[in-house]
Amino acid sequence: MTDTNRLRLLVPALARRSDDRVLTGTSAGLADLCGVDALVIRVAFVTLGIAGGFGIALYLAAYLYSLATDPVTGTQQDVEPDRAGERLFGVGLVSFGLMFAARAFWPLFVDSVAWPLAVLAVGFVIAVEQGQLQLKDLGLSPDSGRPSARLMAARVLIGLGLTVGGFVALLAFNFDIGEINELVLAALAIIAGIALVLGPWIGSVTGDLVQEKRRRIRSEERAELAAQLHDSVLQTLSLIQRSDDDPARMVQLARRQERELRSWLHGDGRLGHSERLREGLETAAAEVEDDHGTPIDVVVVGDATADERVRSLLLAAREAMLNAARHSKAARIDVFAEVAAGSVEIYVRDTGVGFDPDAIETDRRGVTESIMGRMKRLGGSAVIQSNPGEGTEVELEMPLSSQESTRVEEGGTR
Amino acid sequence: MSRPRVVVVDDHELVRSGVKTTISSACEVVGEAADVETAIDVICEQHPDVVLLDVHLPGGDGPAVIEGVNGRMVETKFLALSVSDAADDVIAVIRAGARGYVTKSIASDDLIAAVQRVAGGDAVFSPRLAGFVLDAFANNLPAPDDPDLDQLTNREREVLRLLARGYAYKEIARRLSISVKTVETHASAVLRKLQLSNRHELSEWAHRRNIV
Repeated sequence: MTDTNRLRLLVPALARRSDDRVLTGTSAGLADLCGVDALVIRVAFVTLGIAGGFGIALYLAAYLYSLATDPVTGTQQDVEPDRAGERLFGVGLVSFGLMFAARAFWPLFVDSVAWPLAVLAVGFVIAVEQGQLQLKDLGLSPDSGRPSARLMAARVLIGLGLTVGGFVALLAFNFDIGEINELVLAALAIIAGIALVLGPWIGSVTGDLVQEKRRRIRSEERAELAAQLHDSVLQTLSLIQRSDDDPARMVQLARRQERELRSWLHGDGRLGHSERLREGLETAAAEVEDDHGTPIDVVVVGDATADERVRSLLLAAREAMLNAARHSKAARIDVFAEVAAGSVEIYVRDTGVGFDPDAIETDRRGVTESIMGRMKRLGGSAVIQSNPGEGTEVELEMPLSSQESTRVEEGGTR
Repeated sequence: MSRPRVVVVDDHELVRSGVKTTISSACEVVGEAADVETAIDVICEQHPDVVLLDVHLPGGDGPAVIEGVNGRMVETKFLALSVSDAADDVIAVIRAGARGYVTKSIASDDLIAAVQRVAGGDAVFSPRLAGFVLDAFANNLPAPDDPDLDQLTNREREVLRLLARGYAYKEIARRLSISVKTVETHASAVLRKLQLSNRHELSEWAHRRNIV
């Protein structure tokens, strides 16, 4: 941002030296900046102060510009002791010199014009620069021991007062103002002064706010990332370190963590939403895996909207996965779903102990009702193939609603 | 089966040592590499039977390794091994010439079997890869160059479906009443069709799929 760069140059680290001061330490601070002895600056101020009084004005300006510093850490005077300070000081001196030259050679430029103008300029600069400095500081480091917001606000007000006062004085000294016009002109002067001061200030405030907002968003993102990594990955890692006697639990933890991290990284919020077949099936598998610890690999070909039928199909598939996880003792469960033209098929397979479907079907409500019944009610079908010792496979098929199948067919024949 | 000579390419040392431990009972690990350049050097030097290849590597990806050694050692086979389950990563490395793709969560026995199968010249399909391929061909990639080449036969589709359902080659053979060798032939044919199908359409498919 050019604004910020400009500020870096214009607002040097003019730091009052609380450890080396006669009045406020401003002279010592200036001396630090310019690389000369503090005595030189002090003499210059006093001399200029006696010779017409603007040594005092200059000193006040420098004081308002400066920042209090911590003598112990001494951070302020070390911060960028670059040429900007010297330049600023030089520009100030040259300006005053020019003002005196103008006074000498240009009769109209008399005290009644020069002094109000000087006051006005100083006030303007202070108000604008301090205003920008304030916001910049607050955004960067609210707790860095910089002058408080209240002090900054006070400086802005002082600058504002000087500006308006300068305007009023300029008008009052130089025009023969009638009683009636005086108030109007004064009001105009005040408005002009405020506009002059606040215009750029408001501009910089807006700029600072935009930057500030951006910074906040960035830091919030970082915080969210840190929180997520801490809550999930680090916790899981420490859990794994402590459960070294239970490999199955470790695998379960690692898989759950992997899944969560993936879904979070992809930012699709996959878990917990079942608007689509794929999401629904993956969510169901994840839940069963979490509850029972058996890894479930899900492969889905195609996708479909989760309407009533698909939701029933998903519930049946979930039941099949639950049964496999509970009873099969298999090391892994494979789930495959394919959306073909007109129907969805889901296969839930394990290579575990298996069972005799005929013998068990009558007394296990989970299979008969939750899988078979559910599928049949909506026009689907369920086939359970199992033999003791050979594992189990549940085949589920559900016709899609006409709208959905049309969509799939269009995709399929392309 | 004789012990296949294997080079492990992965940029994570933990993964390399884990893989080495896993397969050392049945394979001879003759080298390892952590980036593309080293991998090409080691492979050209060792002439391994099989390279276990990570999909993502510093200095280029898995396909860069395959392309780097291509033509110099016809006898070396590549098996992709990755945590990535992004379709286009997987498809890219298969298209570059890898003979199969397994995920790093694969069981030890399955990994050894996969290495041996690849060493013997066959293709290795994890259920996930089978799903990707089915997905790709289910969208019926138009093949303007050679329509016959890019279509899967019904039998090939059947084999892929069973692979996606988690069946081993042996189980597929029994279920379809064919020999294991025939199953392997079908799998290799599918792989070849995938490698030869229209490049543009395929990457478009992979792109679309990742958006969905």
